[in-house]
Amino acid sequence: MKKILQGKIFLVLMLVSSFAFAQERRVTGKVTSSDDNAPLPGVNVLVKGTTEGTITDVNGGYSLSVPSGSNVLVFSFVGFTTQEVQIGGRAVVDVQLGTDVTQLSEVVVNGYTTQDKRTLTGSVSSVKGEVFQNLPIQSVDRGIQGRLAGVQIASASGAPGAALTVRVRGYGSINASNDPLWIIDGVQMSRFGQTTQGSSNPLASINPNDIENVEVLKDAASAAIYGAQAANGVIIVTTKKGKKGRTNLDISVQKGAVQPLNLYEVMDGKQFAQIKEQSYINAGLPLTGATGAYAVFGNPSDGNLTNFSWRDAIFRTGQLASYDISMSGGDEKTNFLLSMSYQKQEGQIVMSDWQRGTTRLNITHRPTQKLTIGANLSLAYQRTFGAITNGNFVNGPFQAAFTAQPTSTAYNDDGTFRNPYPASGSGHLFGYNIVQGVNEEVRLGRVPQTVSSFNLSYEILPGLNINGFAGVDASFGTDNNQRPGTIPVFAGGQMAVTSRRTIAYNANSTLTYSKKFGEIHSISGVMGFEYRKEERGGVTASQFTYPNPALRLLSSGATARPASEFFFDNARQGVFGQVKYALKDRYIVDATVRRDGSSRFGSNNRYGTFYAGSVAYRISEESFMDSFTFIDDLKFKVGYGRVGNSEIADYDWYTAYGSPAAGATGIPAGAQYLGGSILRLTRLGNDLIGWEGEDQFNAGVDFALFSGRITGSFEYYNNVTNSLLFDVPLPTDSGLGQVRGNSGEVLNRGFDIELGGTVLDVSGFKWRINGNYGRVHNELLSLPNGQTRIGNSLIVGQPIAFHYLLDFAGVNPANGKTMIWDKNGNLAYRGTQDDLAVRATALPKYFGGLSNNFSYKGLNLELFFQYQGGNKAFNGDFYNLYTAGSSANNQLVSQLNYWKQPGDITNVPRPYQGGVIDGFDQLQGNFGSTQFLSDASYIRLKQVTLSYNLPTSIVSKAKMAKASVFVQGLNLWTYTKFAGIDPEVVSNNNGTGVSSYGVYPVGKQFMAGVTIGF
Amino acid sequence: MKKLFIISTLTVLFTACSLDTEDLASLSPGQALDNTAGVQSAVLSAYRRLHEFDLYGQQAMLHGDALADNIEIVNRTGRYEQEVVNGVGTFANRWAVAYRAINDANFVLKYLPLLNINQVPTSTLLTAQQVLNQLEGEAKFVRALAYSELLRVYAYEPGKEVNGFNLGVILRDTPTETVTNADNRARSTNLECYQFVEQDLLSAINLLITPTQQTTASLWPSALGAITSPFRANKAAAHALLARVYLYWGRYADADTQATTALSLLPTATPVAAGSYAASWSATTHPESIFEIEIRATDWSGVDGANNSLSSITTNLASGFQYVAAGSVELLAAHETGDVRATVFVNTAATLNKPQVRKWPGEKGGGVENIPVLRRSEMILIQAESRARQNNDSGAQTAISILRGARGLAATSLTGSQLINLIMNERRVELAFEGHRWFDLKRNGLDITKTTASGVNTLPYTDFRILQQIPNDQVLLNPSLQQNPGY
Repeated sequence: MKKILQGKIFLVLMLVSSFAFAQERRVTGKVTSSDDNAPLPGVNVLVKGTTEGTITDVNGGYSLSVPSGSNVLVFSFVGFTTQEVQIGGRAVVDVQLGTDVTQLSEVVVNGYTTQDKRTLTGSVSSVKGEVFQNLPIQSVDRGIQGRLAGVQIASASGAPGAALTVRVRGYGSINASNDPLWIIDGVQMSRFGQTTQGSSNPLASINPNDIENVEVLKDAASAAIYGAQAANGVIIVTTKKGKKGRTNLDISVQKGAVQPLNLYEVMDGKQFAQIKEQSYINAGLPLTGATGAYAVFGNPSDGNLTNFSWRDAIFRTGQLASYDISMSGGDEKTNFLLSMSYQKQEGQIVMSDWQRGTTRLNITHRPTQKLTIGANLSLAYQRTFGAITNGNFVNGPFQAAFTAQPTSTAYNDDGTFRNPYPASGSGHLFGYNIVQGVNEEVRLGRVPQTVSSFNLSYEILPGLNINGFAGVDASFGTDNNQRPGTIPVFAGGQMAVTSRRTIAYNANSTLTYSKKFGEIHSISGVMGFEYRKEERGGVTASQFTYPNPALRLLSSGATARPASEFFFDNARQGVFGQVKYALKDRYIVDATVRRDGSSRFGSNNRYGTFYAGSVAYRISEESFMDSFTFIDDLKFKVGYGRVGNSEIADYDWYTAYGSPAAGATGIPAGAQYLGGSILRLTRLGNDLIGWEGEDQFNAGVDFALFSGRITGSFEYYNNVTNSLLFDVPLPTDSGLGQVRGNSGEVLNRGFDIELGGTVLDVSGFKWRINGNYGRVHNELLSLPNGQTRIGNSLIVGQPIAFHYLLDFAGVNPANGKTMIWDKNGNLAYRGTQDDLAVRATALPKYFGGLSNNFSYKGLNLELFFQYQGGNKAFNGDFYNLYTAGSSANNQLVSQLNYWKQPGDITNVPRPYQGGVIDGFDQLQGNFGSTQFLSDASYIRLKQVTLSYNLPTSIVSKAKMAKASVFVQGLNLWTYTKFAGIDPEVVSNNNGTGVSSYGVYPVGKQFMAGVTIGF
Repeated sequence: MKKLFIISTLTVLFTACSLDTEDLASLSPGQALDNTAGVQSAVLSAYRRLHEFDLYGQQAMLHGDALADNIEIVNRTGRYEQEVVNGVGTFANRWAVAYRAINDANFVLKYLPLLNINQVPTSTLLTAQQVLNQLEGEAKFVRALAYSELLRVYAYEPGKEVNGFNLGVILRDTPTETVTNADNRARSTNLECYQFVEQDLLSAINLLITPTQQTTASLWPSALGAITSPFRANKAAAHALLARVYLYWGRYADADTQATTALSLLPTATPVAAGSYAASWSATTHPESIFEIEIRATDWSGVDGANNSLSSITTNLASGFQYVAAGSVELLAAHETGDVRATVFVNTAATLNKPQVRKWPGEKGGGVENIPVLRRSEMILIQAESRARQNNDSGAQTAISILRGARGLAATSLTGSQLINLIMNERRVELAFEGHRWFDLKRNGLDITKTTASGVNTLPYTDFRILQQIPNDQVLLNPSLQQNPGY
């Protein structure tokens, strides 16, 4: 029987081959890339309508037999547009393949599985690492700012290496975190910064140049597989892998500078003395005598009056430099990427800087056809010399550089620091000399961090794999705050050291299945289990009274200070499953469910179930669409699901009685009375709290037209967060301020648009525009216990962050006093609670980016604009700087436009020492007014990069594979009506942008560099 | 073999999982307060609240002087400038801090009776019950002190209401342990509140040890640490506070009795002599203290000395000190010739030619010093005033002359309103920069006189600003909480 069968098969083969021998012809050719004319190995070449095909060799060459009757070759290759070519009478067919700009053949990684982007039913935006390759940024979040529809990103600080605020589709939470879940090569990152000596960013340990791709899962359909943490979106970062083939060596070097942006213009000595003189006269205070205006602030008619610019002594143009080297390659079984980098960036403030070294090894090995093991290992070291920011701190440069009196110098005649400041001895700024402060106070954070993982995958059956993953994000930081005794307020010297560790690890095991049945049905799915644990702890110790300012170890201090320790931990575990079915790649259904438990909730409410369902319809696959040849791809999708949030403090669910934590109201470490220890209620618990959930609806359309010349998507979403993890305020007469509860609802509704198009593509000149626009409506739908408002901070029907202020009515032309409009529309000198109203939202209503890419031969120019708007910001700095000379602070030059005589129309009141006229505060400081509120909308030329790839002919002579030179700049131009330094950094109040005070603005950066590859 | 490896790896991932956490920082109230040392730690927490800067650590010692006519601003840093001109919306933080101390005391009063008496540490001089009595008495004393501070700031004294506005503050006598405990409450009447404070103090008087006991060696069980006088309340302190409360209440006979009893319990009943007066303010423990709050350097962060200490606000004795407040011209003028109290004001070029008070020299270093809250001289002033207001002029003359003698001044033979005016002036001078002046005018229904330097007019007693604003967020949060008139 067996022999007979073999014989029959042989016969059939003979027949086929003899038929083929009779009819075929041979075609050869070479496939190259249209981008750089480089040969493309591995391209699939297929005779259309047959199974005849081959793959191009290492030089891009191919040779193939074409049966008669066939006249079309199909060339396809991942990442390139598939091309069909008529053979005609040719024996040699050379083809150039263009990059597939539609990117629709991309694979989307959701962390547990990969999916073909064409059949995706959820909302996912992505950015390729090359977009922010070699930019002078320190962390990936800065690289994707403005690049993703629906993802609003703004700097929380402009300090190098600092944190950013990332919000995916609005603000769903009020008191729980709104930060998305960041996953780097499968490792779920800790949200916590590692140093308090400057703004720190947990993502800054990853060199952005190591990143291949960033994806944002924006809706429940795509993110519900992360269930409990998906409510704020999930951002998946994948680092680069080596590729099969020759070993590449890439080197990049760049240098540049960073400059402050648009600093406040403050008065010189004479101007300052003059407005102070006026404010003393108006208040009836003496000009002469020991406490008179002239003794304290100087006499404006004194020709020798001191004029010192504190601003110029503190701000500077900083240097920055970056060095990258990477090596990658692989063979049939193994691929690897090895990279190292060093970056140094000086801050805008003297002394402050940031340095980082990174190293990475990504390796994958396949010992057998069925088993794949891999590891992604990274190690980074960051060293931050920070500045004091985000508050009205007299020892913070962003306060004192502007407020210090120009009538006093920072230095004595012999060049030593003046102490105490100011020269008049008036004790302004507590006598603290800010120039000495920034030069002598050391604020150092040193953080080694690893984000590393190990994974393996074993193919049990074709299409069925079992996978294991374990990864860790661990950092071990040391902060030094050294306040030498040369600064008088730190009499004898005060040195503090904090040692801090954060360890977050997650592990999962999954079964994945993917199978296609014929050309009709395809099924894929995943089920798995995951566990995550996070542990944070640290110790702070300090000593006072040092024998010499150069001695800075704790062991040199004579006065022992109480040490303090903190420790927090949390754990989460979950099971999850997802299944997806596609019929003819046309009708697609996807369902996900996840059940998660968290240690942050009491035993009865620990577990929550999260889910999503979604469908997609690829209408472009229908035969009736064939006549619309300009449509490459058209897909409709809709999804709904519920995802969760548990990002609150670790132990909120139970009542705690203990020693007050260091830093609690009025208490440093070592709380005591009369030498005895202290116990008190430190937290009121609520064991009923459970998951905050967000119900998310998403509907959208994806399209690609005119052979990829136009691509885009439009998506609408409607997300309602409910059971908010809410800090329910308690009457303070209870002895406590708040308790955690589950209550309230927040709506985020909006749409995201992504649109890209090739405007010009003629004779080698190419201009492509990619833009995105996101719009979000944020509204508080309900509050605990049916309340309609909580204090002046939350009101049902309003966004969750707004400005609730008096309505500033200018200065009374008759007498120079500031006025407000009261609730009845009448002018008044003093506002009351009843006159307050919502004046503007603090949350941007729209945001996005627009990039223009021009290329001609080896020359590339990118202009990238980023924008956001619809929000206003309250500039707290003006409480110091916009006070018409009423305080001892230096002022904005604009304050000289103060009210001088009846009839004057101005917004700057009559100078009056103390600023309180007849009991009325001229700044309306009790409530605040719209006087300091301004539109924070902006559009910013975020990035300009001009690069030139040297021609292959030149490069190859130098035995290099490629070489390019580039110049680039960041934040070069901004359009805004914001009254302040930087409309991007207005969010130091819990990230909601309610107000800003002494913030660190972003800087302008200029860089030039070269990259070469071997 | 490989399959075995994979499966065992995955199994390890499954089994190493737990949702348990290890909070190392806290206990439940029941666990923390199930032993005497724990209960004492809660008492100490209440004491510790008292010297927060929103309370006696700074503001409670200066607000009363700045709002009236004892303080003139020197360096204009923004601090106390609003108070000196009676701006609207001062006293923002007094409310919350006082209630936190009250809640601490309420925990003690709930859990102390649950202690197993057989496990309470004793000494050769104190039984277990006496140890518990002392702790209970201290909790009641601190609670009464906190309430009396709230009452004088936010309420009219009984009988001195304007337009009949007679609300006191919110009364709580049980701890907030659960959300339901933190209910919205309305203000009780001022009378109810004064009665509540009176009951606490009458009870404390019965419970607390005497000053003599307190200074006896080995009195307090060694397991419980120190009970050093005058840093923890004793019977005399409770009498003294009750004397002050009765004085505000207008119960002058009771005030006199309580002040007299307080003095009688003390080893010394007289004020420090004139020759020692100036030095008394640089002594670590004020020799006249009946109750004094102890502060140690470790209680403050490194910059609190310059940022927040009484010494920094009132002097420029150390670099970085702010020297915001000096004595007013009017305060100095209120001193009679020969008054040794004038010598605590230093007026030189170094003090910017302003009278700089040296009551708060920060003698422990870095601005740190203890804060006397109840002094013997205040008791003598209470004796004198309450006798004079009962028309017992001779009794008043005797008392005030004791104080005047100790301040380098002659005895007085004034009578009637002249005597009362003299006593009120003695209070102003004796208790300057201790936070009394505004409240002494207010409790007598007097208009608030202002300094020339402040540039503002006398504030009539009927002005709404006599009562401070209850924190606005609290009024918005709690519909039962009525704001004071005018805000």
